[in-house]
Amino acid sequence: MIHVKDVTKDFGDGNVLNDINLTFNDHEITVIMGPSGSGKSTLLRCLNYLEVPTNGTITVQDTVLKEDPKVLESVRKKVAMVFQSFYLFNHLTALKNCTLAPRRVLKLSDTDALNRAEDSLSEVGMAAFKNRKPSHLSGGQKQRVAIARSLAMHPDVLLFDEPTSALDPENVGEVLQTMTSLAKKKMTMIIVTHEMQFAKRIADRVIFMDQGSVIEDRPAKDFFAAPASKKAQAFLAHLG
Amino acid sequence: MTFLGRLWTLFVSGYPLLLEGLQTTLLLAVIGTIAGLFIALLLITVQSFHVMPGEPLVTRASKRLSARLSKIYVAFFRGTPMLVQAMVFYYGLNQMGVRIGFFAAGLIVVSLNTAAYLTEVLKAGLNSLDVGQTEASLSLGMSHFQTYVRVLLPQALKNMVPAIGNELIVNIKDTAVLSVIGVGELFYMGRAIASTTYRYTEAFILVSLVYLVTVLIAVEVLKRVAALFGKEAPRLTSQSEGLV
Ligand SMILES: Nc1ncnc2c1ncn2[C@@H]1O[C@H](COP(=O)(O)OP(=O)(O)OP(=O)(O)O)[C@@H](O)[C@H]1O
Ligand SMILES: [Mg+2]
Repeated sequence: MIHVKDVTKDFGDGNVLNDINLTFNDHEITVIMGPSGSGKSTLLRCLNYLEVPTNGTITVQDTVLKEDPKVLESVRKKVAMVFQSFYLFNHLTALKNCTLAPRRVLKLSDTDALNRAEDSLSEVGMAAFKNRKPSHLSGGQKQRVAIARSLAMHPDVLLFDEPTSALDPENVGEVLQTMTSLAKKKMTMIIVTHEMQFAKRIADRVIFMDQGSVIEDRPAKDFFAAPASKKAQAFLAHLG
Repeated sequence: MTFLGRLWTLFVSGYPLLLEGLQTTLLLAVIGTIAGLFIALLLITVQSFHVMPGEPLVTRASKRLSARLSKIYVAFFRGTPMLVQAMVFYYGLNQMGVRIGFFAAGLIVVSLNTAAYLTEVLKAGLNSLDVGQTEASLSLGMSHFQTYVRVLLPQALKNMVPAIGNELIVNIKDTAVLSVIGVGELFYMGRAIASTTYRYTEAFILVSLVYLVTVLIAVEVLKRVAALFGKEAPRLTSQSEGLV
C-alpha cells in the first residue's frame, strides 16, 4: 500500500505537482494518463523518492520515506521501476543485469540470485538471450530484460514510466504482452502510458492528471465509458 | 665518415647505455601509469562520495573535505610542470632528511602526475554516463556507493582504455625531464653519450630514433589491448595529441 499525502513538487519555477492525495492499493492496477508535462513522471518518481517532494509525505507499506539512505534502500528494493529508456546496465549481460541487485541488495547467494534471474528472464521470454549485452538487443528485448531485472527483486509494487514510448512500433506489442501477463498475476502495478487499448484491457483504475493535479481518479470501466472532465474527453478523443 | 656512418658507430658503442636507459624509461612509464591509475581511482572515488542530508554531520563534513583535498591535489599536479615537481620533490625530500634514490623519486613524480591527469579523464568518463544508469541502480535499492562501484566505475573505466594508453605514451616521452634530477632514463643516457663523444647531433638523433621506435611499438601493442575492450586505441595524430 502506498499513501501520497499533500504532496507538492516545485522545481523552481512553479508547481509541477499540486497537493496530490492518493492511495495505491495492493493488487490494484492503476494507469496514470494525462497530457505531456502534466506531472505523471514526477509523481511516479516521487513514489520511490528518485524525486524528493517539496512538501507532503509518501508512505510505502507503513514506512514514511525520507532522505535517509537506509530508509530509501529498504523501500526501493520492494518498489521496482521500469523506465522509458530501459537503462539496462550497459556493461553487463542480460543475466547479470538481473543478478546484480539480488546479490548486492538482497544478499542472495550466487546460486539463488542466478535461479531468480533465470526465472525472471523466462517470465518475460528472454531466457534465450541471457548472455547478450544490451547493445546486442532490440528495444523491445531491452525493455523485457529491464522488466525481468525488476521482477528478480520480487517487488511488492512495479512502477512503469511510459515503458513503450521509446520503442519502434513493431516492438511495442511484445512489451505490452509481457505486462499483461504480469497484470493477470495481480501484481501491484502503477503504469504511466499513452497506450489506450492496453490501458482499457488491464487497468482497474485510471488517474487522469492535468497541470500537476489529479483531475480524475475513477474505476477504469467508468473512466473509459465516459470521462467526466472536458480535458480527459479531449485527451481520449485525441488518442483515438 | 658519412653522417649515417657516424650514427651507426655511435649506436654500436653506445647501445648498452641506450638499452639501460630505455629499460628505465619503460619501467617509469609502465609502473608510473599503472600506479597512477590506482591513485586516480582513489582520488576520483573520494570526489564521487554522495552527500545525503540524512547523514551525520561528521560523515558529511569528512566527505566534503576529502573531495576538496582531492580537487586541490589534481589542480596542483595539472597546473605545474612535471620538471618543477620533480625538483621540489627531490630536493624537498632530501632537505627533510628523507634519503630517496633518483629512480624512486622519478617514479613517484610520474605516478602522482599520471594520477592527476587520469582523475580528470575518469571524471569526464563518469559524467558522460547517462543519469539513467544511476537512477536504475538506485531504484533497485543499491546504495550510492554500490552504484558507483558496480555500475558507474566499470563503464567509465572501459571507456577510458584509450586514454590510459595515451597516457602511457605521454609518459614514455615525458619521463625525459627526469634526467634533470639524475634519473638514468633514455634521455639521460643520450646526454651521457653526447658529452663523452662530443657528437651531440648524432647522439640526440639516435635517442630520438629509439623513442620513436619504442612509441610506435607501444601504439601497436595498445591497439591490440584496446581491441580486447572493443575500443579505439590512441593514435599518433593531432586527435590523440589533443589529449596531451
Ligand atoms: N528535473 C526537472 N527540473 C525542472 N523541471 C522539471 C524537471 N523534471 C520535470 N520538470 C518539469 O515538470 C513538468 C512535469 O514534468 P513530467 O516529466 O512529470 O511530465 P509528464 O506528465 O511525465 O510528461 P510526459 O508525458 O512528456 O512525459 C514539466 O513542465 C517539466 O518541464
Ligand atoms: Mg513523463
